[in-house]
Amino acid sequence: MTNPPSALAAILSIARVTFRRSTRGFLPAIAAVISLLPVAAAAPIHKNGGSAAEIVLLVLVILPPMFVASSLGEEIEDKTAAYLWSRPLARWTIIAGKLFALAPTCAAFVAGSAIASGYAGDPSLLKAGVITAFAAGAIAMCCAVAGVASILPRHAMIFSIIYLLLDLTIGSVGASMHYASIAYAIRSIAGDTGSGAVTGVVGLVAISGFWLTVAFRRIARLEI
Amino acid sequence: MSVIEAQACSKWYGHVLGISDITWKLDGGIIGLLGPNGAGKSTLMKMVAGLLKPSRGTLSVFGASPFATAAVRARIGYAPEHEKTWDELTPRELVTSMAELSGVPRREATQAAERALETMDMKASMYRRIRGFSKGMRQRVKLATAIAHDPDLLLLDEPLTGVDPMARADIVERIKRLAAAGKTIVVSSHVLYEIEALTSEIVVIYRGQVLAEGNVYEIRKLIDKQPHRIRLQCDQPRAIAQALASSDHVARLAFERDAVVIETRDPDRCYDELAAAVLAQNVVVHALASPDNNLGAVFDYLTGGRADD
Repeated sequence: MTNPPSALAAILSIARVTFRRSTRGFLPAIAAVISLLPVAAAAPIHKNGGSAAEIVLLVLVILPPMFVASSLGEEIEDKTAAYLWSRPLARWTIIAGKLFALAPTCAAFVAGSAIASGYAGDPSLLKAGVITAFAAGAIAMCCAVAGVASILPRHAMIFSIIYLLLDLTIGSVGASMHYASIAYAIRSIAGDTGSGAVTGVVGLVAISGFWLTVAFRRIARLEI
Repeated sequence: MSVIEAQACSKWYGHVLGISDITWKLDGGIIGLLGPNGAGKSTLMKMVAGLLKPSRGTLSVFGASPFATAAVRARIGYAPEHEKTWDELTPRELVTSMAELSGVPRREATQAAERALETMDMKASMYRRIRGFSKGMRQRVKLATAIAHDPDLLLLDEPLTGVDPMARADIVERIKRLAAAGKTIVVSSHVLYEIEALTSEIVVIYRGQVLAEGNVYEIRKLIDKQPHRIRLQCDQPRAIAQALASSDHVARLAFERDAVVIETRDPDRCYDELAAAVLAQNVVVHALASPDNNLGAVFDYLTGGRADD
């Protein structure tokens, strides 16, 4: 007979196995291809006076659902979640463990996308603040996707993409509701809005915290 | 303290009833949950494993709710019904992860996993990806994930489904060894002979309710009080019918295409006479089956024929 693992041990163990699983399919290759899409568009957009950052934001809408929503949704869909749910874990550690593995991976792909696009033709993306904003935004979006996936696990991918597209839209409107948008917070950290980097950081922390709370509360009650 | 105790336990999925007002207690040993597909066996298993919580009533394992109490789940090993596992991994990686997540310290988890895989005769394949495994191999890996942390209670949901006869006999033997080592084991199946091979103690579940509980042979005796059907497919069904027609144990004779169906009140005598008639008349037998010798007969009997409603 064993004692339940500590929360930290459970998170690290879930993170290890999640990372290992995510690297053994087509996911890294598909993510790399998607991350490179802005590279092709960077130079022409920059020449026309635009910013490739908007295309990198679209990458941000696709990658977190691909990593996080599919990881959670497929577990439910394939019924492999039974392996985790039947273990003596605090259930929030399942979400935390998955995010611990997938959010930094996602952030690395998005930061890589921004850097590659910067070298390919839009130097404005090569600023440390911009790259940090995208990486932090990717982590926040992963948290938001975890929240959406915990509410709608069976259609996690599609609803996450819809939510993030909505986030982009809200972030573009002039009214104060844009403070609820991850995309707006990313732009603020990158210095593209008048709100300042601190407002952006506070926004990302608040939105991530909200969605993590939703995810942790939902997952504790989720029956499979 | 009972290992499992359900008190007026019900489970609904929306408007669909999964388990209905079950009161049941298990103190130990190996027990078979028997019921047709959709009877509620897997729902009951999931509730005991802590994946579902009762909609009404209570269900406790080792005295506490398995859904709410992690310490209880640490004492349970659950092998789910479905075939799919984390196919990207090797059995060694999967079972090691499961052992760690069940509380085995990381430095000991690999050894525990290898021991469990050896117990299930999977050590030779433990470095191959699960993706390419047969159903039988997957079942063994699932069982290894369930036993790696040395739990007190094993829940094996349809562990023999899709397994070839050789592998089935082997897995049965290995499960029996675990029971002999003192584990409490709950095994579910919709096939009577699979359960009989493992244990004589059964709980019959039908439409979410416990229909009967006890020794499988007692239930068989009840069934044997009913006329027992034997279907013989052969080249001379009428000759066989003629030879048995005058026997007092024969309740009814019927013909199907190339076959005679005999209803008897004394199966042992009937089989003896049948063999004698086949030999005496040089009949070529194509198939011999007892339609009663399956779970359907149990349910027909216990439900008074409502099983087909």
